[in-house]
Amino acid sequence: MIILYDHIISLLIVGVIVLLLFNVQQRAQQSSIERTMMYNAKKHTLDLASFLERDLANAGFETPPVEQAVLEHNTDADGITDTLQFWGVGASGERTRIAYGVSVVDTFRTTFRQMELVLPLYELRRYERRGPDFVRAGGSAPTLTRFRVDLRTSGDGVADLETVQRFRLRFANAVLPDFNSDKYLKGYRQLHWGATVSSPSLRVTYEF
Amino acid sequence: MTETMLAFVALLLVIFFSMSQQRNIVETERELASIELEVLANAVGSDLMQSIAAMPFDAATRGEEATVNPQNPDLNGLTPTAEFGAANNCLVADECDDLDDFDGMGPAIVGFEVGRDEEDNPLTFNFSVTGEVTYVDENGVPTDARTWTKEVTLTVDQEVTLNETKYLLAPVVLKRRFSPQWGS
Repeated sequence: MIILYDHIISLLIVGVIVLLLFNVQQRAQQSSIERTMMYNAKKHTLDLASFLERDLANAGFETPPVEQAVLEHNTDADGITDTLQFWGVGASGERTRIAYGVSVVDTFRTTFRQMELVLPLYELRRYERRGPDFVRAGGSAPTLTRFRVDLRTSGDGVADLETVQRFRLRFANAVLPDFNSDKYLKGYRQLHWGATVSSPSLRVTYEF
Repeated sequence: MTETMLAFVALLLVIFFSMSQQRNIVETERELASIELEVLANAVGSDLMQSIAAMPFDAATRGEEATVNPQNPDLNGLTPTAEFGAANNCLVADECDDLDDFDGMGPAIVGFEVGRDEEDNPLTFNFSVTGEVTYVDENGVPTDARTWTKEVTLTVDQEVTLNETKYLLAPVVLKRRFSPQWGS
């Protein structure tokens, strides 16, 4: 009886230890995956920021003063800039019309202030006008949670299509695992970017 | 007795292994938080660098009253290194009028709003930014002599109060070189 009792206790201890090790190992593996995801998201965020800043810095390229350089701009009720169109520099290095379109491509659920929310994920699509049509030429991954471009004057006042001299850019990129739409995520990380970009071509006076 | 000792050693090994893994997990969490802050710090520095890029190269090349210009490209007319920054002691970009005014800048505190907290207050991370400007020679080496290239270095670090945790493991350093934009 005592031997049987010893065996049962040993088995219990071994079971607990194996479970503990399995749990720790699984958490370590998850942590390693999170790290890889974060580095990918960081690279994507910095690449997107660099590409957007270069694009916006070229806005109005070779546009005569009598012509409008920024052609279309709209920010929706959720604060997402869904349309932006301007004269810029295309892949060929020539003056081209550039258009941005931002739309919801996926959703995920999370809890905020004890309320369950369905949060949209956006994708930025960039187009260049080649001939009569706009052709897809770059964009972001479908992980944006915020994208806003405000038109500003050189003194940082609010500007319209005719008076714009700078762009105030803000976006956030969610760090998310591959998942099915509408998945519940208890917590998620975001990488934020913001910069105010001046375009020399949109300046009224030139300084050197 | 032997069995008890073996069991004890096995238990110790498991505890050490578990603790080591837990420490790795905590370190990874810190690293991830640092990356989030690193991207923000990069944005803050990049934004300021954009403002700096819009500044005239030198006080002597500024505006219509410029004394050094394509007709008079005189290096000796540029601001000497000894007179960088201190002239108007500018602490933030708005108070500077040309590139070298940013030398010795700060630490200037710049906030970056990332959203709203549970009570709908802005959630802002603060960064301290310091600036350094030097002339660089044709090999890209900093020099005290006047040249047609200035290098601006911005160091962005997380600004924390006594009760806050510093997540940014190392300051972000941004460098950019500028020359007068005279064109051809």
